[in-house]
Amino acid sequence: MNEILTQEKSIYLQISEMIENDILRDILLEEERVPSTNELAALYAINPATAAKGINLLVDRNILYKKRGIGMFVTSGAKEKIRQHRKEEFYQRYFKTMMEEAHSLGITREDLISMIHAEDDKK
Amino acid sequence: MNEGFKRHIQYISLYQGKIFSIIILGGLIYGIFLTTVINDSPGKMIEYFEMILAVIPCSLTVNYIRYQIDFCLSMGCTRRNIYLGIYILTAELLVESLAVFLLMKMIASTSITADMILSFVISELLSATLGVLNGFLIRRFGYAKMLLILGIFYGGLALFALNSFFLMTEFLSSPSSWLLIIGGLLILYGLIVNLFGKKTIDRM
Amino acid sequence: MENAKELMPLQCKNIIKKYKEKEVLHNIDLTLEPGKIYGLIGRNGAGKTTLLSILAAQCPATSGDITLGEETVWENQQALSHICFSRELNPVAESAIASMKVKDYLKAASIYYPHWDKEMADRLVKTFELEPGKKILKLSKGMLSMLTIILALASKADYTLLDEPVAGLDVFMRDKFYKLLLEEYEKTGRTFLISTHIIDEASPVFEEVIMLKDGAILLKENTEDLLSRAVHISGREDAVDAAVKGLKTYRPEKVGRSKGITVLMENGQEFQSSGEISVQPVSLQNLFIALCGDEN
Repeated sequence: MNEILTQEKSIYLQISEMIENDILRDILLEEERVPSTNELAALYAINPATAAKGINLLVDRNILYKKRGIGMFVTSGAKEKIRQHRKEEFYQRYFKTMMEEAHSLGITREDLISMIHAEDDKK
Repeated sequence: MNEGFKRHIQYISLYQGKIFSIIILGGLIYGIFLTTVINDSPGKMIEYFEMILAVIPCSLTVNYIRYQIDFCLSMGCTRRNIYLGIYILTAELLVESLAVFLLMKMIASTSITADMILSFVISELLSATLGVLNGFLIRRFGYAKMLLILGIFYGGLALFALNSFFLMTEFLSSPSSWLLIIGGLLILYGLIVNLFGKKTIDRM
Repeated sequence: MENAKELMPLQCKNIIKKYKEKEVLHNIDLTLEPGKIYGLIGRNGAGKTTLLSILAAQCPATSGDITLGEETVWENQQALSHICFSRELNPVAESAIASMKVKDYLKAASIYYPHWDKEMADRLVKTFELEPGKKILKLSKGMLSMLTIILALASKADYTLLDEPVAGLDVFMRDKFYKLLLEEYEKTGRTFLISTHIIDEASPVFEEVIMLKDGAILLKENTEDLLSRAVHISGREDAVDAAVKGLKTYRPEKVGRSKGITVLMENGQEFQSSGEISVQPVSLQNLFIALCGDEN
């Protein structure tokens, strides 16, 4: 929850990603309360409506749920769901752009495969 | 009385209190100066003090128009209440200074003649009229009307001055004449300032 | 926003303002919904201050109406009690505030604003480290801004208009202001309309942004929605031109074969990026420059 906002992306998307990151990193645990819209608004100096938009995005995806009168909580199984979602995103977000870049630089398929092997061997 | 007007009056008394205390204090220092240094007769000193008192209604109205309108508007006061403030201010000061005048004469145990009161009331009324006219002038906005009123006003003042003129030798030595001159200048200043006041309201 | 009041919108219709022959506001229609923070941006001389002043009925419009719900605002004390316009303070020797001290100014404000929160005003004076006994004439630009902020927040008016509240404030104080503003907004759900020249810093605070250009409203839109429609495209000129064909473009810039241009898409339009061009998000400030900068 302490990442910095950038201008590269809509703020509400950044808010929802930060919460996701915190869930993935076990900073926020399942069935735990997440900061309220107002807390987020105060923390980042953003309009509460924007913070709410980010949170609602996660509610729609069943990652957060609302307990009436108490606040927003992390759904059990949210972590797995986020991981699954990120895996699906991986192709679009990283792989495709990597291939585009590799293509424009003339990096061959063989080069790429050997890079993957070399990176793996480091571990 | 509406809520906004009450608030406005509350503010007027706040700032008026300040100016009042400054003028009264100034008057006292002036009085002490006259008694100790110049060693003038008590009767004359009281007339000097009256002079200062007569300056109050003028200067307060002028101050109100010149400086306060802008500020009161910025605090969300309606124009109507600002005009009402001008009327109230002048009427109140007329009553106040008349009371002080009578009190002063009694303390000095000078006999109060009908003429004395009349001339004082007239000069005060002129000041008060000026204040009220300010209100009308700003509300009505017409330059032509302003000139007309200015004409009538100075016509009256000229008559008043002419009366004193017959006592030419006395004229410049009498504080009352100085009161007239100062009053006249203030009125002139007031009217000029009035034009600016109108412009302030227009421009904002 | 739990306590968002059931208030009527503040509206202006067909506002025209002329100074002598010069028309500075042309047919302004604007509705401020209760419970939002609006940003008002425009170049110097676009008419921001005049518009704010007219909305608060401090400056008469040449024609047009301002209404709060069904009621006319002009000369209406009842309606005016819901509005606070905290003007930029300009203490010249020839003004009422020149002779005032900080505490006198706040005292006057406490008289005029029916919902004045004295406790809050006192607290903010401490927060901003203002000396209550200091003459307004002696305050620095930043301190004057602080005073206008205190007036605006402590007035507790349902519609609070601020004219460049952060001018002259350092970055810490500006941050403090945004936080104070949001805190107050969350507690009360009051409506704020804030003009500023420091756009990017304030844009996350604005739920909606109103752009004023040459005395007319260029746009009024949810800030996030507006920014999601705007992109900057750059690359080789022909590739860029092909990519932006049929789209609304602003402020093209060319260096040699390279070209950059700002695109404002219509709702629903999407931009397809390719290896040929760079597509970047645009900040509100850059969008403002693109939309309101000099033609050509």
